[in-house]
Amino acid sequence: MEDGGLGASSDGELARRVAARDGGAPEAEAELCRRLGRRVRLYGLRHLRDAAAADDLVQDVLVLTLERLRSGRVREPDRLASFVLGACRLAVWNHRRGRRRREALLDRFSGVFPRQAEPDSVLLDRSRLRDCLARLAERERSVLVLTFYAEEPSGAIAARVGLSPDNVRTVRHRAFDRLRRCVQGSDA
Amino acid sequence: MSAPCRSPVSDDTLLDWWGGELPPPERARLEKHLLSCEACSVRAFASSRLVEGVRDLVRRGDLPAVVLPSVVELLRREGRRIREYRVAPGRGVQCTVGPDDDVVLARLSADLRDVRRLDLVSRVDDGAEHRLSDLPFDPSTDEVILAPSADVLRARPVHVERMRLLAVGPEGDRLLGEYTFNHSPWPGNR
Repeated sequence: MEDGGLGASSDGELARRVAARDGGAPEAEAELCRRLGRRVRLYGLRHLRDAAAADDLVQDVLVLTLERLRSGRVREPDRLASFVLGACRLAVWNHRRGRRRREALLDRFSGVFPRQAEPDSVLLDRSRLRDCLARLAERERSVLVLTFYAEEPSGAIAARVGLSPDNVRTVRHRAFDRLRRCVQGSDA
Repeated sequence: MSAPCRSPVSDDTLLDWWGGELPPPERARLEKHLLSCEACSVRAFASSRLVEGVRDLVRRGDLPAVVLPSVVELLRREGRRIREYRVAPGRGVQCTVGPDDDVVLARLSADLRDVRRLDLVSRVDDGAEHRLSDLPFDPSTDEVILAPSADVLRARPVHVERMRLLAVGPEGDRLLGEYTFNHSPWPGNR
């Protein structure tokens, strides 16, 4: 929802209003959080591979960004993306360090811990997505799983499934496009 | 409505980003752009739903697929509960799916040397045969790993599923192994 003209403001303009701490600052903060929240979550999903961890990243980065803006410690508000990118990198690094510690503990106490909680929200109609994936060839499905779940680069996937890296990229692009069109209903 | 982007990121570049294929400088440029551009971040977010959906299905054991050992290893590291049955050619196994199992694996041993194309033919009880063509496989291993949907299997009554792995070549099909899965529901689910 964009209101009060803030939707037309640039990120830099919003950042300056937050830093000025004038009467419009709360609205500017809300609009900035709305915009940055989704973008930071996207970064988290790419680098942390986990929806809950991406949500944590959003909180950490937004808190830091607002705190620095309010205290006037973001030197170039017009280059807010550079600051946010740096904050994302640092938070992801901290998260990974903590995760390695958690994984070491999990190895030691495997079988004792309760199972990992399932994510609260399923972002897509799962059965629809499953049906669309079932329409892909086995090789296409494997390439998508190895790319998005195992996060293997095309060179490694190529060695595993007997294709060239260029072929893996071609298969991936074609399969992803078919999947997207199927889920959107244009290839049902 | 977000303002249109003057230099929109292509779908191919976004997919390369998800696939970890961009070199670090290009990745940094893209990520900075996505953190500042509403229009491109909205498009990227739409693709993230598919990426997340695929991950979610794999973790829940709800994506019937041939899987490779690296995927199994990652599932294990993530703490997923895996029930697996290793079957040698010509052999069978009694199998089930427990209420807490996340993922079920059928590990079919086979000599994959010199195999160029691999097909799988399966049949449940006296039903029709179903053929999966051109399965991905790692020729350096001696097995094919199948991950049927755990939820679907859990809901099924007693049945027998027979599978045949076939090496397909110019001279026709060559049988690599036959495998039998005698499925029973988990005792409490009968």
